[in-house]
Amino acid sequence: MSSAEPPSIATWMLEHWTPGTRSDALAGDLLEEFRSGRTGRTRAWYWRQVLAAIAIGCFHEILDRGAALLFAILWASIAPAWLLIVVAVEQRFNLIAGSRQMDFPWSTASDTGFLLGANLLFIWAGILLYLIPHLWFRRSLSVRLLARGVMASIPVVVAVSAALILLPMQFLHNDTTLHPTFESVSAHAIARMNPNDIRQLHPWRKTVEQHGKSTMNQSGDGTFNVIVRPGNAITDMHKWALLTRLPFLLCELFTLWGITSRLRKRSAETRA
Amino acid sequence: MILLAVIRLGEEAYGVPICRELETYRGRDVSVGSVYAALERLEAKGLVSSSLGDPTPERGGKAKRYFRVTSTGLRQVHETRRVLSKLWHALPELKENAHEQR
Repeated sequence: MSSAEPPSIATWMLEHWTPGTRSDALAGDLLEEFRSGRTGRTRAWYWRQVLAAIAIGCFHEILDRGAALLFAILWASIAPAWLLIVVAVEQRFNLIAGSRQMDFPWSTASDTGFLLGANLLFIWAGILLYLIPHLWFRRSLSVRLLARGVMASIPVVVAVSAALILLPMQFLHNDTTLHPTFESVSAHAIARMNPNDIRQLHPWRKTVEQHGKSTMNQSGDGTFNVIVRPGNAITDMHKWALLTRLPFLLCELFTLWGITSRLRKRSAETRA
Repeated sequence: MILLAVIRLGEEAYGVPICRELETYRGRDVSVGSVYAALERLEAKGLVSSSLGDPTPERGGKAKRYFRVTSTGLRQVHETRRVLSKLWHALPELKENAHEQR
């Protein structure tokens, strides 16, 4: 015998966690069946149905967007190499040397702006690289859709960047002399750190010493220049390298996920 | 199976009766979520179409989603039936051959 109302938490989960457009009709069907009083329609049955619906919905959602997920992982995996290239270009041509001489907050703003711009460029390149063949294959390639995809990434990039700025430094290492800035997880900062700061990054130092993937040269002014080959950065799976990839993975994934959702909704409306 | 259930139910083909129909013929409980996932795949392939009914109080104000087999879906059902019939007719011969080989 079941009580008149199903578990409200289960209903809430069903309405909010079931992907796609099916959740409303599905919730109504389960409620109708639960209230029908048929044998076996208990609260346990309702919970089983809700959990199964969420699991099946998520599984199909991931399958549907498998290409986007795979692309986001692959694109994020080359992010450390991209950052190293940015650092090399910046150091070679002294792109923001002038603005660094300015007082706070302009020096910090130019540093962060440069890094944010480089990151955006990388993320946009990934979005376009995925979208152009994807839209062309679906015969819906248009400048408007591409622009929408690029614009959709901006709030995600800002949110992820803000989260990284607020990330406590202790999460990365025990160095209290460095400020919790966006640079803390970027190769940009690593390349410019003084020897004491570099020594605080134990996993990174092990990489330098054990695998010979990178070399450390002491310059005349007592600071170290860490030289890392981009090719090695792609295969680097240490904590620092994985953390560097995380914001890029999230940005690519959220943006491509949103775009493919809209495309699917649009094609369903066209069919209807 | 789901396509056949939708055809059989006609105008009354929405989640609850479809699931009951499947339970009756399969003899065991079915997950409403998996039925919806299958129906969505069929809809994406253009084999069924769906439309929303009016919201009703016994369903907590949620509308029913009615499904209907499209002409493509109907052709697909006939084609599947034809292929399956041919396969079934070929089966006794296979069995006889298997006995002869023993």
